[in-house]
Amino acid sequence: MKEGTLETVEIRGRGRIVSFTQVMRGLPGYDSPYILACIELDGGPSLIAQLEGWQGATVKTHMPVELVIGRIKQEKNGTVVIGPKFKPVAE
Amino acid sequence: MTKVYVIGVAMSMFGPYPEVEVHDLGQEAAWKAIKSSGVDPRKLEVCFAGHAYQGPCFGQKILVKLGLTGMPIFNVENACASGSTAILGVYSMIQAGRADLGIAIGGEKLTTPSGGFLPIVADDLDSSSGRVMPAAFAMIARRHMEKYGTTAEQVAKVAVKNRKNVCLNLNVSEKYRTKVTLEEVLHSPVIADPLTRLSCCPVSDGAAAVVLASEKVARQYTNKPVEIVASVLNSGKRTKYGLIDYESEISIRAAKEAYERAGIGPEDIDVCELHDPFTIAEIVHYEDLGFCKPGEGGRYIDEGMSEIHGKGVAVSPSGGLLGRGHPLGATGIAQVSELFWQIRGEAGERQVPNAKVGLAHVVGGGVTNLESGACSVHILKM
Repeated sequence: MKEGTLETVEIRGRGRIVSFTQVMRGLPGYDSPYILACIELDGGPSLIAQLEGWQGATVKTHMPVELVIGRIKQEKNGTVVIGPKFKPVAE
Repeated sequence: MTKVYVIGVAMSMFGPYPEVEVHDLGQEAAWKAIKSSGVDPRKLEVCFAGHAYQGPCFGQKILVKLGLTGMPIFNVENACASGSTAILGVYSMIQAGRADLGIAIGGEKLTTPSGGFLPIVADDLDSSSGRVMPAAFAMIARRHMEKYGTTAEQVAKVAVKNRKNVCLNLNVSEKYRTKVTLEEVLHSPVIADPLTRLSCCPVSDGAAAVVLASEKVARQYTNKPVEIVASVLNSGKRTKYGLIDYESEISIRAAKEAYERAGIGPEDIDVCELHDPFTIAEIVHYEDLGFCKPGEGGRYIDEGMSEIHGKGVAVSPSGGLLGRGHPLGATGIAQVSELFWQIRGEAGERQVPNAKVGLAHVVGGGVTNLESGACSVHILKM
């Protein structure tokens, strides 16, 4: 066990879509509309992240996705915030 | 341990009041609740004040307007469950014998946030990724629809019912007392598919307050005290899919504990105020609270079971969060106020026939890796 926590989990960058929605109007700074999804990572935990490269694709639950680092939002001062996103991949 | 009773309740008006200061709303609710209890305000021994974004010394800033100073005041924050947490605080102090009379106040100003909501985005990973609450509930809706075949029409019927009920609630701004049709709900602008604008609660300001009393003194003030037979608060676990699921583990767990403490079951509940910030939440919580089996929430609304004059549990006769809006700290206390009126037969046109036992449920707070921040269930009966 790592000091300072009861639980650590090792993750890889692949997973599947548990659920998703197209957000038509997000908070200021986000590139609305965007697709937000709950991703179950292979090997355990789930997280919520935006999809990348979904335009033109048919997003479905159970679809496999892969971690990418991409633009999440832009702050008022112009700073672009990057973070974990997922892109649909072939089975 | 002494039994604890509700002896007075009140709400300020709920609605968009951008020009009114939040502590003035709190003053209105607290003063009316004290008046309705018949208690001399100077006899109050303890106050818990719930809010999420209103800054330091929230309770003090309200009570000083009433001329009440010096008593112990606990300011509590638990996102959507802040008000309920305040009730549990006063309840616990009375139960422990530290006080015979106390007041729980909750309030929130949402129409003029002045940037107050941004911290929740900055310090939480899911929120930073763009997980606004309508998106979370939209994903819950998709889960429930795929798992159980729940339809968009069934989900939309919750908004039709609750916006019909709120028309009978004079504590809510006239601006929000408008009936809507199923077609209007389904075809209002999409916020996060499948949820439309009318599937979301409106933005409201408001405050509410309840006066609680020990068994020793309650009947000095009223011959109709309403007993709190269960007051439960818990916090979220790291469930498999967090908030995004077709059931709410935190709600199931809180309800189970509340039923055990009260020594009753869901079949004994006549009236319920549950946490319905978005339509789908009500369907999921019918199941979580045991009013119907998992997967039957859509049918429950289809068959009119949860209507004021329905055959099941009357759910959100006040209009719920969808009707009156959701000023975070005020909601849990407004729910208990509604149950108090319902159980005493004082709910006017929205009175649920023979309402004897009521349940209030709130859940909220977005924390990455947890299903939710906190959940509270209260059960009241005469």
